[in-house]
Formats: sequence, structure tokens, C-alpha cells
Amino acid sequence: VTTFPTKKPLNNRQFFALVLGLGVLLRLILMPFFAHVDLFSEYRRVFYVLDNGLFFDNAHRVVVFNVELLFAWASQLFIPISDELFHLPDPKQSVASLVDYRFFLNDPNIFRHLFFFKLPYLLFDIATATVIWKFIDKPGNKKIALILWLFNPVTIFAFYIFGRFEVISLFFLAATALQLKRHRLLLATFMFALALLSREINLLFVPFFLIALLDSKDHWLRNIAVVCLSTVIIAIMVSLPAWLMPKLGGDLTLFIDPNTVRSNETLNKLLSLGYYWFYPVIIALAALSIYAWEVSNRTTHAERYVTCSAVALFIYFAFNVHSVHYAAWLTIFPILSMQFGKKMVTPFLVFIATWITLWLLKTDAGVFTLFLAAPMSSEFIDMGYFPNFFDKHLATAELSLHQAIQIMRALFFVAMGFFTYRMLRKT
Amino acid sequence: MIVKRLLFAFMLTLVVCQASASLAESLAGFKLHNISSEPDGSYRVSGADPYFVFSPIHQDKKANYLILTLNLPTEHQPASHDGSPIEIPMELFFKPHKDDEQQFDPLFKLKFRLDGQALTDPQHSIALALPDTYEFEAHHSMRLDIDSCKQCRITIPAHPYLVSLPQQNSSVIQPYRIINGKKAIPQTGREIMLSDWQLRDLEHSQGLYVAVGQDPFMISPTLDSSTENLGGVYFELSVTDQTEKNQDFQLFYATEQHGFVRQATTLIRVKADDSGTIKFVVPLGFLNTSHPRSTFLKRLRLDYPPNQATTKWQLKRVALLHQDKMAEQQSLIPRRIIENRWQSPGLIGLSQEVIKKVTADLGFTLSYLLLLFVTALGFWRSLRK
Repeated sequence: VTTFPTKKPLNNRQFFALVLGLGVLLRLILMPFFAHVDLFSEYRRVFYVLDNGLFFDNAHRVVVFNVELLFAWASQLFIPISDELFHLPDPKQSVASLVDYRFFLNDPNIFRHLFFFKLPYLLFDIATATVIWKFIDKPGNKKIALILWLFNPVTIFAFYIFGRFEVISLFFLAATALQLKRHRLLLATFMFALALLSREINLLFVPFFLIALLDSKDHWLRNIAVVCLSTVIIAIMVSLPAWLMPKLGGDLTLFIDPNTVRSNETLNKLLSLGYYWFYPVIIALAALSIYAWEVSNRTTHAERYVTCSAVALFIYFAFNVHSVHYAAWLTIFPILSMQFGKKMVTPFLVFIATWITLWLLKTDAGVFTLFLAAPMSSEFIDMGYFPNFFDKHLATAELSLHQAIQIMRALFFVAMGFFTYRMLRKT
Repeated sequence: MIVKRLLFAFMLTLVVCQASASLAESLAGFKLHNISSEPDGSYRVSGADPYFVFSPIHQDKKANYLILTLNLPTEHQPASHDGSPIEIPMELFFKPHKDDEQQFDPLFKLKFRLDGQALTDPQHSIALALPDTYEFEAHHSMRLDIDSCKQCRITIPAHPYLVSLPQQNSSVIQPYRIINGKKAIPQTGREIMLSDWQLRDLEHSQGLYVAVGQDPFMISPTLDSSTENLGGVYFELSVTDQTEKNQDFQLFYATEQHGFVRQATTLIRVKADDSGTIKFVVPLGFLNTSHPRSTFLKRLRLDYPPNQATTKWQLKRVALLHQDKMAEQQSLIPRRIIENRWQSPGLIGLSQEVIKKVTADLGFTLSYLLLLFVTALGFWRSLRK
């Protein structure tokens, strides 16, 4: 009788190697061949700083910018860069035109450039996967969480097809959670400050991070001291670049158009509750802060931080879907929450399905279309996009494109509600 | 002169009478496209591309005029804003000597306009001048396209007729455009005259051009060049100032498929050298290889950088290059170039284009494949431990 050897199931380390290996290969395959014009604009600014030695002239998203600066510098060892390719005639008008972008697309070294542009995103992506693996203890949950992180289309699209730097910010948010889990509050504070220096949206999580530092077992004076010290460290770290760089001769208005007052107007409008979606966000921040305070005696530092940050984002995206790649922000906290037994797989799949359908309908010509494959051939630029197809072949008198978008926005709202329910449900 | 014209009119009347006599035997041979035959013997335009195909009555192979007798009552003509008849554009396709192809070739045609008012006269005949080199073969036919005449209803009282008449410059229709075959590009290239370019938003004085508007460009004289051996176009210009600056030029090219359209352009970004000279080559070899193929190049249009009123340009040389010479001109093809192609490559063509572009950077391709292999191997070894 012939007996066949039974296959041994993969142990944790083998599973991690297999899934991460497949995830990295998938990313390597996509990296050189897709991009949005924003990626080119971003690196035009980077090369402008590099070429002119203006290292103290930009304090905006300083962590992301300097990481990109480092990789752009390293790329010069492998790519002969001609000055006119990244030439920025006026740094105050740094958003690339379509003509400039098409010259870039036809550069013989386009694939090398795109590979190096996205290389920091890949490294931070792998680092985030490692943090998720270390953060979640239960083997079954950590495997699912790793698969969700490495193979969800939202982050793959945002980082490697659109070409956005969001993963750097997400890494620091995840690293903050890991340090909180390990009770390394000082290190968590540093990580959170770095997250704030990577992306402005992370300001949303400040109250939850500070409340997450509280420990009901400690004396209240110690808790106050910890929160105050953490606040001071964050404040110093966040304001340090903008304070220090001008002292070192930097001009922080380098990339700021003096003729535009839009950002100030937007801020004023935001603070005066001029945007309809800001009401629910303000209410959510207050309510979640109270919730975090109330559950502080029965939850860990990390659980409070992850749960409240996740729900704040769900509420934010329920009312404001923003731009297509920003949905990447939604991924990290639900994945981390699996450590606390939250059932996130089904809402995650619903979220992905609604995100794809919504953006297929809501996209303009250059966002969720074949335009992003233009590095391979400029023919992809004019290949049309789904809203046109919908208007021509699917729209009816009862269901116009606008109505379909509104329906999908409502369903996206429902997906956020589903996320919130699973996040707050007792496990 | 008056006697000569009278003689011409007499001979014209004579041949029209001959043609009318043979009407019964000939009109039956008309082939119609997007035109329907009406019970009263007239023809009505019924589609977007209306034309007649016919075999003209002929006596002499070496004819120099085609006699057409057409009648379009005012009420069946396209009207101008004030209701009066207008000029009706037409095209006559003819077969070149010894060409037995069934299809009419856009390289052999005359473009002309007929006065709508004159066509209201039922007895009005037109003598259309044919190219000097034209020789009729018995089995050849002609094709008459009636453009921009959607509601037209035409009567043809007499069969078209080929005649040899003395040279005459009046009382006949001279085509405003004669396309009589294509000119092959010689190995040495073909120079394009610099004297006959049409200007728009450009002022020309003492050999220098200055932009005076938002959209300055110049259009070449008619080229009618074959694309069969066409490699590209060579330009040499000089600029008086701003030599440090990148300059964007856009080349439009009209073929038999299209006129000057945005989808058939090449945009380049170049910088003048220290002496203020700009030399560049725009590749156009794809016109003959892509699908659908463009077989001949009609004209070129060069758009200058706008908003540079202080810059003076001099166009020094323009030449069409033979495809065999492109390899030695490779260094003149700008590194910054955007090609908008009118032709759609199709799925297979697009795949080939992508593969060609990806593999063009051999260093990258090999390193990239090696990286994929090493990464896969690394994780595989980690898995097997």
C-alpha cells in the first residue's frame, strides 16, 4: 500500500513569508507602469529642492517630503536625469500641466523613475505589514489581517497605481498603536508626532491618542503628567520644522502661490462650520472622546486609540468621500482592530465593493481610469472612462449618472455604518 | 482672343450635342452611392457620402477636358443665409495611367467648386480641366463626389464626355486642387520651399518671423508626398533671443485621412544652442505603418511658441527625410516629444507598443526581471526553511 506524505500546514513564519512575498511581487509588478500626474508634480518639487539645495524651504508634510527627497537623490545613481524633465519654471506654480506630464511619460527612463518614486512607499508598506503582524497576537486573526493589508485593492491602487504617499503616514499610525500596545508611551508619542508631520488628517486622532495614554490603574497625577508631557512633545515636534527652518535660512513660502488665498478661506470656512460634513465630524470627535474616557478603565491604550480613530474616520468618510485614494486612510485601523476580536472581514469586503463602484461612477477622466496606465502608452489617456459608458449604454430616464452616484454614496455611507457597528459591538 | 473664345464655345456646344445624342445608351451605366434614382429621371442625395461612378464617353485617349452637364434647380440646392444659391464643392476621382485597381485612389483626384446659380440653367455644361499627364483607358471609370449637398436633387441631361480642346483659360472650371499621384521621397530627402508658407498670427519681415497673436503658426505649400519611404521632417530655425529657454513647437500634418487636427500632431520641447540655432527631426514614419495607413502627406503646419512677441524666428530649412536616413538623424529627434496619433493602434498594436516601450530600456528591463526573480527566490527560500 502506497502512503502519501501529508502536507504540513504552514507555520506562522512560513505564512508570513509566503503572503508577504506574493504581496511584494504584486507591488513590484505594478510599480513602474502606473501613475497619476500628482506623482510627477510631487517629484518635480522634490527635484527642485534637490537641484537648488533648498533643503530648509519646505516644512509641509516634512517627513514624507524628506523620505521622497532621500529616494530621489538615490535614484540619480541609476538614472541619468536631464534638467528639462523636472524643470520647474516657477516653484509657486508647481502643479504639472498635462503637457509637462506627457513629456515625462515619453521619457526613455520613465519606468526607472516610477520605480524609484514608489520605492519608499513599498518599504513603508512592508514595514506596515510587519507592524500589523506583530500587533495582532491571535494566529488566525493576524493571518487574515495580513491578507487584508497586502491584497486589498484600495491601498494597492492608492500607493502603486495612483502613486500616493499615504502609506508613510499609515505606517506611523500603525507603529503608534504597536508602541501603545507595548506600553511604550514615549515612543508612541514620537511615532504619533511623526504621523502628524506626514499628513494633516491625523490631527483628527489627537484627542483619542491623548486619552489612550491614560491608565486607570495609575494615579491621576501620573496620568496628567503623562498626557501633558506627551502634548508638549507632540507640539514641539510638530512645530519644530516650521520654527527651525527659517532660522537656518529657509524660505517656507517656496511652493506657496502668493496669489491664492484659497487655503485660508477654506480654513475659515471649516472653522466656522461652513461645510455640511464638518458638523457630524465635530459631534463624532466629541462623542468619541467621551466614549474613550468612559471605556478607559476596561480597555487597553491601543484599543482605545484604534477603536476611536477608526470610528472617527468612518464618520468622516460617511459624509465626505473626498478623493479616490484617500480611502486608503480607512484601511489601517479596521485591520489593527482585529487584535481586539473585531469582525472586520465582511465590512471590509463591503467597503471595497462600494468604493470600486462609487469611483467607477464618480471619477473624472484622470482618476479611476486607464489614464493611470499612460506610462505604458499615451494611447491610454484618451480611452474614455466609465461615466461616459454609463451615460451612453446604461443610463435610463429613471436612473441617470447623477442618481447612480447618489445611490452609491448612500451605500458607501451604509458601508461606513457597518464598519462602525462591528467596531463598537462588544466582542 | 474673342475669336478663340467663340471657337471654344462652339466646340463645347458641339461635343455637348454629341453627348446628348448618346444619352440613352450611357446613363444606364451610372453606379450610385448614397444617391437614389427618382421616377422623373433625377437623382436625389440620400446619404452622407454621395457619388456617381461612370465611364465617360471618349474619342481621344489624350483628353484634357471632361464635359459635365448638371442641373440643380435652386430649390434643391443648399442655400446661403440669404437664400441665394452657393458654390457646391465637388471632387472628381480619376484613374492614373495603366492603373487597373478597382478602388479609386485619393491620390488621383480634382477638387473644384461649381457655381450654384449657373447650375440652375438646364443647358449649362461645364468643361472641367484635367491634369496634363492624364490619359484615358477604355476600361477606366471616374467618380464624381458631391460634397456638402445633403438635400440636392440633380438632373444629368447629358452623359459626361471627354474631349481634347485647345488650351483655354476662361469658360472652363479649373480645379482649385489637383492631386495627381504622390511624389516619392528620394534617398537624399526632399527640400520644402520656404517661400510659399501661409502665416497666421506671425509677421514676416526681412526673413524673420515675429509672433503677433496667441496662436502663431505657418502652413507649408502643398506637398503631396508619399509616406512609403517617409522617415520624418527636418526643421532648422534660428531664434534671436531667449536661447536659454525651452521652446515648445507643435507640428500638425495633414494626410488623405485628415486635415490639421489635434489628434495628428507632434509636440516637441527643444532648446536653442549657443548660436541660437534649433535643429530637430520629427519622426513621421509611422504614417505608413500604422492602421489605417496614411499613404500621402498633404501639408505641414508648424505652430510656434505663443506669447513671445520679442522673439524673432528664422526658418532656415525644412526637408522631408527618407526613412533610411533616420538612423543618422537619431540625435536630432527631441528627447522631449509627445506624439498624438490619429490612428488608433487597436488592441494588438497597443500591446506591441507597450512591449516595445517597456523593453526599449534594456538596462531597466534586465534589472527589473532580475529583481523579480531574486525577490521571489528570497521569499521562497524563507518559506522552505
